[in-house]
Amino acid sequence: MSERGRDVADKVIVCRCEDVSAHDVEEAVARGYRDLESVKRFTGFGTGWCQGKQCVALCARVLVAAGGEPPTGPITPRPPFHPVPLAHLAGLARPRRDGGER
Amino acid sequence: MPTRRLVDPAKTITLHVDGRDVPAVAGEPVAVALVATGRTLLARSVKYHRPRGPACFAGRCDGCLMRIDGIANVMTCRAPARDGMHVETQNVLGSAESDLLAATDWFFPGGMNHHEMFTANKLVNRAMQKVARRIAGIGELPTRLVPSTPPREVACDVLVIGGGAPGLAAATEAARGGATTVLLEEAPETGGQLLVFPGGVIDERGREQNAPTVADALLREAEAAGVRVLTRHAAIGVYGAEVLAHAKDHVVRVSFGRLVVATGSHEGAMAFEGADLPGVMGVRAACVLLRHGVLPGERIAIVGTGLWSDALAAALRARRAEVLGPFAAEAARRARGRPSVRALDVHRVAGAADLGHRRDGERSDVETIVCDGVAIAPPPSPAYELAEQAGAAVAFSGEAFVVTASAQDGQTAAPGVYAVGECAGVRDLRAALAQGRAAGHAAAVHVGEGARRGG
Repeated sequence: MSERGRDVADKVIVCRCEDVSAHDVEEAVARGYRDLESVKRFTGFGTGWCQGKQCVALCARVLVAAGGEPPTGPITPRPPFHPVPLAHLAGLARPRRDGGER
Repeated sequence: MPTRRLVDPAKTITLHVDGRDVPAVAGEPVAVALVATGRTLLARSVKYHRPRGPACFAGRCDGCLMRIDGIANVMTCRAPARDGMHVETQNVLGSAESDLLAATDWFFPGGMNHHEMFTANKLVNRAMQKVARRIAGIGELPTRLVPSTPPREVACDVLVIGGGAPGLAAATEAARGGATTVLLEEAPETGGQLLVFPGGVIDERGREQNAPTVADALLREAEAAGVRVLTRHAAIGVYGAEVLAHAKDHVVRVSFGRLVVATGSHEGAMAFEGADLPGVMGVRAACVLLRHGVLPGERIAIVGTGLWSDALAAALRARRAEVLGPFAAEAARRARGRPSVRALDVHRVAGAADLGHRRDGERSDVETIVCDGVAIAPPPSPAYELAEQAGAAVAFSGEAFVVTASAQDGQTAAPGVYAVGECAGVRDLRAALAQGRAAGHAAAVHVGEGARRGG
């Protein structure tokens, strides 16, 4: 899948948000980080903007292809699941508005 | 120009983009307006400063982050264009096209191992960390103070997250069952994938219809049943019996009795060299562009097969664009071009989708195809995040992570939480609609029971 062992001319980026390559995932497995959570912690995949939305399935497939353990579950995405300005979250500490239409 | 508008818009507004004026159609996503001018490179990646462009047009990737009116990291695919908006490239030294910091990418062809780099000497390590923090990054802090805004509160019996087909069906049945029902949709319109699918689908009565027509009928049905539909409301977390959503300039606390998660799927990604280049995007993303009247390229290579690839190919050909493929997913070797895609290396095969007799490692088997856009169709990645946080179980299918739910009515391992449609692995439209309706019905019935017990 990732052309290992051949003349790699460009990176195979598997997690765009954190610039993690297929090589990084394979290296992690080679070093003994064989489960998805450990590979996430070692490489940082799935810890960026999208919290794994675009990459976690691909990283799991690359992990399995590299000889890692087939995952039993996903990584834990952290909310907020969509970027939110802190100012809007800070509003939660303020008095509430009623639920009427805006 | 690789990307362009199919028809000149009758009326435009002006965006100020990196000191230049760019025309846009009022209300269209800023990223679409920029891509319509032929610019696919909008951003740079955080570590290697690799060129990036929108890959999803759905608020799920890093490809369109820019600074708008002094606020960093705005997903421009979700930001409606307004006259006079100031849009800036961020995280570059120079310009988006020639970012001097991209040297990082050439300097570390094998990648950076931050665990061991410059760790021999403490002083050097400290100095290098400073440099790394300066080079890496995701924009700068806002130039002005952003005032905090109070949250809004909404209460309902049944909350449905996701306004695609199964979500609309679930909400309709919940409301018909007597439950006060709220539906949250992150996009400006409901309809989900039906809204952008450029082809026909078989509806619940077995008739072939245009996908957007089916989406429209489902919305009208939900509204007639009394569902309160909140578009541009992105659910960002589940906390007990409350979902936190984000609207334009505030958050909304939605308390619910029963929860139906119908969040669909993310397009996902593929592993080949240069798959992160601007101009490489998902097939659905390409369809989003078409829906906004923007051609994703004049010569588009499609990688990965399936309904979306075929529908996109037909839609592009109908607009007189050249289509190469669809190629089997495994055939893609390398997307080339700096800063945007200009060619794709594919493994040569007899039939476009047949890779049965490939001989690995032989250069002669690889063909370079000149193109100005690549549309990829990876296995869809179910959007399990919210269901998982609500307590549902999630399993690996071998391709992606899928919420474990009853095929019949979407019941998950978490009491009162249902997952329907693609997030639960149900991809067929009619099956997803049936599951959605059953979930909505069950949710309304159980809310009623709870109220009777409580009363």
